[in-house]
Amino acid sequence: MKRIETEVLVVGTGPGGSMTAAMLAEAGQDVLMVEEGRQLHVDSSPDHSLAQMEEKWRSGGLTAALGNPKVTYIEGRCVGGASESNAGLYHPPIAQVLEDWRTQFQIEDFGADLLAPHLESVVDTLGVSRRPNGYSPASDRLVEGAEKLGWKWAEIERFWRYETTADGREVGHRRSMSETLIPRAVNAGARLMSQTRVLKIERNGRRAVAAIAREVGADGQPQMIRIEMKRLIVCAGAVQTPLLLRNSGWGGVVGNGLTLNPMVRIVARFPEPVNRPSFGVPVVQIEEFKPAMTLGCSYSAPPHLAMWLEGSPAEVRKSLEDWERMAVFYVKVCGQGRGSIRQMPILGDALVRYRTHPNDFAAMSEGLARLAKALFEAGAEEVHSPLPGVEALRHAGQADSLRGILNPRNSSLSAIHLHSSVRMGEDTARCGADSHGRLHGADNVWVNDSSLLPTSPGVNPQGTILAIARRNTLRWLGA
Amino acid sequence: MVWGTMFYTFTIEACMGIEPVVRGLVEGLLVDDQHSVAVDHTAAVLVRQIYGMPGLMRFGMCVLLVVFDLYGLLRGGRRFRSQSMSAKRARITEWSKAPIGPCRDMVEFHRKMGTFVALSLEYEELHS
Repeated sequence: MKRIETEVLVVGTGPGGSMTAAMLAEAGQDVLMVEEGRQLHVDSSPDHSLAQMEEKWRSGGLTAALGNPKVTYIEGRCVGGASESNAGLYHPPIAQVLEDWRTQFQIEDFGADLLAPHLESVVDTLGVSRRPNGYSPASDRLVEGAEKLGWKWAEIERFWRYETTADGREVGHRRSMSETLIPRAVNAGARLMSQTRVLKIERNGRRAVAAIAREVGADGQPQMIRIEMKRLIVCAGAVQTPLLLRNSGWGGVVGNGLTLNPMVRIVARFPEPVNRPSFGVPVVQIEEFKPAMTLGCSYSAPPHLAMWLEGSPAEVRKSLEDWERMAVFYVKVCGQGRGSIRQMPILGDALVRYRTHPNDFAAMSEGLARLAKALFEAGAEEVHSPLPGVEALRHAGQADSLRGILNPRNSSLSAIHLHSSVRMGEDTARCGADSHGRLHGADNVWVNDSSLLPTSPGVNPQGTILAIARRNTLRWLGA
Repeated sequence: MVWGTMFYTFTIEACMGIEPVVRGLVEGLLVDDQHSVAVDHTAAVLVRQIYGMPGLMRFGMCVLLVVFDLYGLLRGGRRFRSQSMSAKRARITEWSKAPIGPCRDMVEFHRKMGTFVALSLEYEELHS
């Protein structure tokens, strides 16, 4: 078995791992980053394409939390993690949510004021911006509906940089980890091993001493490696982080408390064209009901529209003759349900379970009714129900029929943000890690990713994850 | 780890044998008089997706596809993969209305993902 030594081993290269590795390497520490996925250029495949799903998402995006109903979710699996393919929306955390986390989970040295400088640093480092040439026509419809109903809305900034070319075209560049923090870490001397999955941590009591990993070599052949380290920082995401820790004997509350934001989608048709996939991800959200509920617009190329249209494939194709007049909209709620991560016996895969709270079905149904109302206010001529066999709505008066429509038997739920599987705080009955990410019950093991967020933040979490990762890393550096 | 490796080997082998069933499902679900579909390409992508699923989902899907193939033998005297198009459509309709949830889910997966994959292939070809 090949042997490698390092001072600090960072497992995972998503936002949390990249921030951690860059800061530690720049502070002069000997850092090794390992990533299960491949190292790919940020533009190696078109956004939202089948190729991108297969290249950059675990299991091609076909992962699900078991429950009634099951909730499909996605996990990034490449150098840079989900930041290589997500929308990169930047939304600062809500101060009241941070305060609730501090008091309910007994997090020391924490709060909106204390996190603010870290958020500023994240914004300065990665850069966030708005689209220079406005947003998509579908987003315009959402804005129009919100304004007619007197609801707050906002254009959400993105970790993205835009340029306008000489011929007036808008060109955007994603500020993903592979474009920002990972090069910084490598320039500061950090080593990066891709296609290397850490299977287990060898322990000596409370100390981690080595990681056993499987590396896929350039010839495609796997080989086992033993990585000896002084400090271990696990940043593999809300599913893989607790899986690795539990597989290495750190059980207890590790893997409990999983939260996610269940989403449900509907398709609306307008009298005029609203859909131009070249606009990419729509960036407008209705903020009136945050943090409990977010209403927004999704990427709506024809294959994506097809996913959310009910009916036979022939009926779906018939509907898609009008695809330029159609767009996908979503309701995302701050889920009250809870889930867990365990290791599947024999297989070793993650067994993700999630129990959607009854209130969440009511909230999502309510959200659908509100969304339909806004879309009709904006001139929609048809809103397709997300349920099979239910006729499309034709006017605003029918929007109320969506209230209470969802239940565990008929709902098709998805989620893109998973958190809280190793919560931070001093309440050891609920938190797997302390206020700064050190694993309770371990001397030299830390967690620094979305697993630490005690509950769903109710907004797009990437900025919060990066800021908390920076805060914790500075603490470890004694700054 | 040994059991896990054996399990994966078994499910991978099983997946290799299910391609004709997936192709039959794609034909039965997506092809009609008005729409042509890149059946082989779509089926190949779906099989690759099944192959890449997490262990339990992959195992479940492979078992369902094998059972579905044999169900054709029971109902039409031939395995699903070898049946005529109209018989294939009849088998698919029967499973899409089955009282057993996983049977309906299997058809639903191929309907939704098959449509997504077929349209993605068309769309990407159009814009490449």
